Order: sequence, then C-alpha cells, then structure tokens
Amino acid sequence: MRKAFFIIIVLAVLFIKAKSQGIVYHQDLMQRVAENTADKQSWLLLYNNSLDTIQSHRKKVLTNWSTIEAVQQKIYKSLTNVDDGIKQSRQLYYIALKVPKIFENILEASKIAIGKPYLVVYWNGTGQLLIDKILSLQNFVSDFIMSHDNDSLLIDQTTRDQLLWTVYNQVNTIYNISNNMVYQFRQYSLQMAINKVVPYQWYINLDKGITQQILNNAKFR
Amino acid sequence: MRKMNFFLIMITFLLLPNFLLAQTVTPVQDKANNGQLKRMVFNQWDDWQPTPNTNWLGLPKNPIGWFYWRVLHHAYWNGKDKRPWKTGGQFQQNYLSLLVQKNFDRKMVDTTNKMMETNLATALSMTGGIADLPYQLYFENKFAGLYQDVTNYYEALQTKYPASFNLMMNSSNGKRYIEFLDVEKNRIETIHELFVDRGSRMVSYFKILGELQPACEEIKNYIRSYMLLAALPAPQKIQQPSKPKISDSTDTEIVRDLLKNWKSN
Repeated sequence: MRKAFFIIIVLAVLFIKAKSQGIVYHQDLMQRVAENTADKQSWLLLYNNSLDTIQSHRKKVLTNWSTIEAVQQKIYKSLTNVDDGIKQSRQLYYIALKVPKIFENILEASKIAIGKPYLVVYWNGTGQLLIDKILSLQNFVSDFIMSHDNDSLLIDQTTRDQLLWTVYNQVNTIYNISNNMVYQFRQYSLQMAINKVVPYQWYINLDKGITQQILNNAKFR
Repeated sequence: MRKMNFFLIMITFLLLPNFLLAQTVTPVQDKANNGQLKRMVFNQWDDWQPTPNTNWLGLPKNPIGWFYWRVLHHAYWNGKDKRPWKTGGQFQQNYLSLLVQKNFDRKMVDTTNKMMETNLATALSMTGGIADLPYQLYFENKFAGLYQDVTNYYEALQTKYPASFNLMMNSSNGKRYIEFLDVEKNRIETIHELFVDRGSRMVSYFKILGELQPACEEIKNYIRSYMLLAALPAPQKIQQPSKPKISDSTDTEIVRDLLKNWKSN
C-alpha cells in the first residue's frame, strides 16, 4: 500500500512538469524582422514614389511628343501634299478650260496654213513653240505644283498658289497668242506676205506721215 | 486507515491538474538567426554567431562557430559586405540613379512642354479660317471693299444701261475681267483656308492686293467708258460736223487750198 502511494506521489510530481504545448519565443527575431521590414518598406515607398513621378513625367513627355509629332506631321504633309483648296482652285479650272482651246486654235491655224502655203513657215515656228510651251506647263503643273506625297519636293502652299498663278497667266498669254494667230492667219493674204518681203510699205508710210503732218498743220476756216 | 489513504490519494490526484500547464512560452535568443537577419537587410554585416573568433592563444573560442564560418562558409565570411539596403549599397545606388533619372525626366518634361507650346503656337499661326487674324483684322475688309466697289459699277451699268451691260459682258475684255475677279476671289478664299506660315500668307495677300487694286481701277474705268458711251445721244441726233471746205476738184487745187491755210511756225 505504501509502495503504491509512493509511486502515485512520484507520478504526481512528474506530472507537474507536464505540458501539452510549448512555444519558444525568439525575442530579437520580431524586432529584427520589424526593423528590416520598416527599412525596406520606407525605401521601397521612396522608390515607388520616384517611379510614379518618372511614370508621370514619361506620360507627359509622351503627350508632348505626340502633340509635337502631330503638328510636325501636319506641317510636313502641308509641304509634301498640295492642298485641296488649290486642287479645286478656279485657276486650275480655267487652265483646264483653255488648254484644249489652245490646241484647237493651233489646229485651226494649221488648217488655214494648209490653204495658204506661205503661212506654213510661220505656223511651224509659232504653232510648235506654243505646243511645246503648253505641254511643258502642263507637266509643270501636274508634276511640280500638284505634287503629292513627294518626300523630296517640299513646297509651301502659298508658293504653289503663286506658281499656279504664274502658270495661269502664261496659259492666258498663250491662249491669246493662239487666238491672235488664228485671226492673223485668216487676215493674212499673199499680198501682205509680198509686202513683207518687198519693203515699199516704208515709202507708203512716209507719204502718209507727211500728209498727216500737213493736215495737222492746216488752218481750217 | 484504508479510507484515510484512499482519501489522500484522491486529494493528490485532484490537486495534480493545478500544476499541469497546457502551454508554455519560452523566450529564447537565437543569435545566429539574429546575425543573419542583420546581414539580410541593412543592420550589420559582421555579427557572426556562433563566433568564429579565436582567443589570445589562437584557439577557437567556439569550435563549431569557427568551423562553420572559417571553414564551411569561408568565402561568405571573408567576402564583401553584401547587405542590399546598407548605406551606399545596391539599393541606394539604384535609388540614386532613379533620382537622377527623375531629374532628367523632369527636364525632359519642361523641354518638351516648351517645344509643344511652340509647336501649338506655330500650328495656330499657320491655321487658316477663323484663326487667320491678319485677314480678320485688315485684308477681309480691304478685299471686300474692292469687290464691292467694282460690283457697284457693274450693278450701276446693268441697272441704267442693260444693253450696254450685256454688250460689255460679252466682250472679250468683259469676260477677261470677270474671270480675273473670279480667280482672284477664289485665290483669296483658298489662301485664307490654307495651312501655311502666317508671314507667307500675308505676303500672298499683299501680292493679290497689289494686283487687284490697279485691276479694279482698270475694270471701273472700262465700265465707266461703257457708261459714257451709253450716255451719248443716238447717232441720228448728232449733227453733221462742218467739214473743212477743201476743194476736191483737182490735186492742184487741193494743194493750193492747203497751202493757203498753212500755218507756218
């Protein structure tokens, strides 16, 4: 009995140290981890703020560049392409109207010249010259003034307008010359051609001049 | 006696749970771990635990620490300070370059902003239509005045002398003038809408103005001449002018008559 009692007492004493769970607490660990985390986070926050600022700057730069590029692109396009306003200008309309008439006039003059062989030599000179000139002007308008998407040819729109105005005036002049040529060819006779070769017209003009002077000085009552 | 013993045993059993612990918390010091944590971020590089140091006799203070650091991880122990967040460390270097980058980008923003402002101002000055200020302020009225003036002349001729107006409009010069006015008006409208340099646009306006002003005067004079012609009386109402009495019988008489009237200087 005593023996059993003793065993129980020993067991009881042993159980005093018994525990279901033991936690080992590392005191410095939490402090160190907290310090490390705080340090890293503060730096990362700074880093993040700087990255945010850089991102914001980059976005602004991108926006600015986009605007600059858009403007530059517009300027570039205005230099490489002819404006729609010039494409549909009245100058071009009248040029397009007059060029066929010039060819018609030259053709008409050639028909007259066939009937009057002494005019052929004039037609050859003037007619061919007008055709060459009008063709070169046409090419100049289509290849130069109306140039489109030509990177090697940058022309200001007002320069295009000025050039078109010059061409328009030249076409007008050629048109008038061609008109005049037809008119002159119709009026020109064989006698006039002979007169041109034999210069007695000079004497006639001299006599006319003297007579006119006498008439001017005549005192009429 | 037996009862007494039993009672004591029971009391003992009942008291036992009082001493039983469900959970214990034991603070410990893991110096090695602590040293490693210091090395991992920023605190301290050389807190080696257990110590690899030797005593004054050159013998290891802690053989395990000595072996672990000086033999097993010698390169690490003997190597450079690798704390990423140390002062002047990798992170701070990166951060410094980031600050440099930030500063550079801010300058880029300023520069591009100015460039954008300049470009926008250029684009605005090149834009035609409503943004064409010289036209709004000066040229519009100037051109409108010239055209109105000529139109008034045309209308006056048309109202007073419709037949002469038709005659003039069908004449080659009349057609030429109409075409000229049409072309110049179209040029002004085109240039007004163009996307061009403001200076070039103004030069064009001045050139057109220089052409238009004398041309308008010419046209007005032309119309005025038609008005004057139209205002003349009908041919039958014009009296026959008195012809000079020059004999026309013979050439001799004509010459004699002329010489009689000769006014010598």
